[in-house]
Amino acid sequence: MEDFEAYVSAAWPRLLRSAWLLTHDWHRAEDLVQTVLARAYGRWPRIKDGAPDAYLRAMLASTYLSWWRRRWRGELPTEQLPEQPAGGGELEGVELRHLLADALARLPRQQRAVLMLRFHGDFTEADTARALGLRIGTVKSHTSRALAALRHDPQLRALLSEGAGR
Amino acid sequence: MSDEEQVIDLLDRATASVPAALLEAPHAAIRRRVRRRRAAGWTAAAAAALLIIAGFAVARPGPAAQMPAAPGAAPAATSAQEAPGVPWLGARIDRTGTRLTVYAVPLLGKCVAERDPNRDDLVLDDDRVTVQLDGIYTGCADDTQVTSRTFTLPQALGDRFVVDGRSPRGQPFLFSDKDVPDFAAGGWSEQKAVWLNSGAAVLQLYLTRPGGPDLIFTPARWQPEPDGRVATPDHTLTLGDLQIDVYNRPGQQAAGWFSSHNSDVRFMLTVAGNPLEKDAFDALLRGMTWA
Repeated sequence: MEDFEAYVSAAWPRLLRSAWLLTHDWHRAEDLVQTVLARAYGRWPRIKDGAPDAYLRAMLASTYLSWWRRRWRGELPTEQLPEQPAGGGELEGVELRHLLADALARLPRQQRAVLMLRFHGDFTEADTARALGLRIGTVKSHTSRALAALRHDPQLRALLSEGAGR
Repeated sequence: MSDEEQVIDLLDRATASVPAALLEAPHAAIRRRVRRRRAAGWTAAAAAALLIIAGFAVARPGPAAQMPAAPGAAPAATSAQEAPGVPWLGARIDRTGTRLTVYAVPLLGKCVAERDPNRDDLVLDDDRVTVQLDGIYTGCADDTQVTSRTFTLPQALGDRFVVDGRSPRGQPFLFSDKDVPDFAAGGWSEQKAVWLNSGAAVLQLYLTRPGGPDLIFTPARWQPEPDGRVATPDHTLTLGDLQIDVYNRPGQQAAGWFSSHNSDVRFMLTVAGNPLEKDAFDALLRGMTWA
């Protein structure tokens, strides 16, 4: 299926970003996206005419949560050097990512999944609830708690205000 | 900006740059997973069909009278029962080929407990060595603890496979100390192994020697992509029979290489603590005993 491969080539980086928000580790993110794409392959004729990104992000979130319920089966390659903080005192992407990863790691996994779908995948509350098999009220409370946790994180608070000042 | 807009902005900024090595979609790896899923699907369907047939056969009355079970007799074990113990992820064989260490699979938030080494099992055959580890998984605070068991084999492992008796179709990785420098010859002593991260299937071994530098050594299963997903090294050294990729990044150097007898294991070696100068790191690698 050439159109599946073409889609994967184009969508890979954005799906990887979504998966990183769940796993806060690039290699686990890669493992998660590969798993989801392999599952999506057989359903591609049905997926392709809708909103494939949204469908796959929902699969990323639900697969991630089911992995957690069972166990992480991932295999981590190691030849990638750990990311190093950028120099020069400026808060670059790597440092920002480290801070965000720490903050995300402190969130319960369902809150992390809700956060990814709502604020990265642009899902509505109803769509998020459907994707994760939750009630809309639960999605609302997860969203509100996750936002509060990020807002009260001392290191992220400065970043949030920095972003607001742009 | 509202709270929500600020979070959207933060998530976008944090994930703006994907590591270069991961930017291209690994089509070959995805195709492999698709094939594995299909194979697994057929296997599951065949197994389900067999179960239905077997169930039908059991449900039918047999021609011969059943022997009554002896009072108090334990029910016979069936193949459908899960084998006891915990699965293991990988194995290491020492330079003599006779000391075999196996590492139990790490699970997120869990550790292996209630282990009785006397209930570990080692079966030696002409073509394989089968190992089974006793224990169960329980929740624990530090899931980076490694559970391992070292066996002494009466004869060198040689070309024999090493398989997990609990999950014989699994694919545990195996590496030999012959694929890595002789750290002991260089004066390093090995500390207790840990898993790299919570739930991560990457072993981390800390090596220390008087006067340093201390080293961090990580062996892990790795299946390289045909399109070359290994990060481009700054340069390569040929040491013994091995091609060593050397990475010099600000504040850190690392060396990476594959096991010589197959490409399933990738090793990585870094200096713990303060980084060395580039030349000093190369000299350190060249000064090690590789063979």
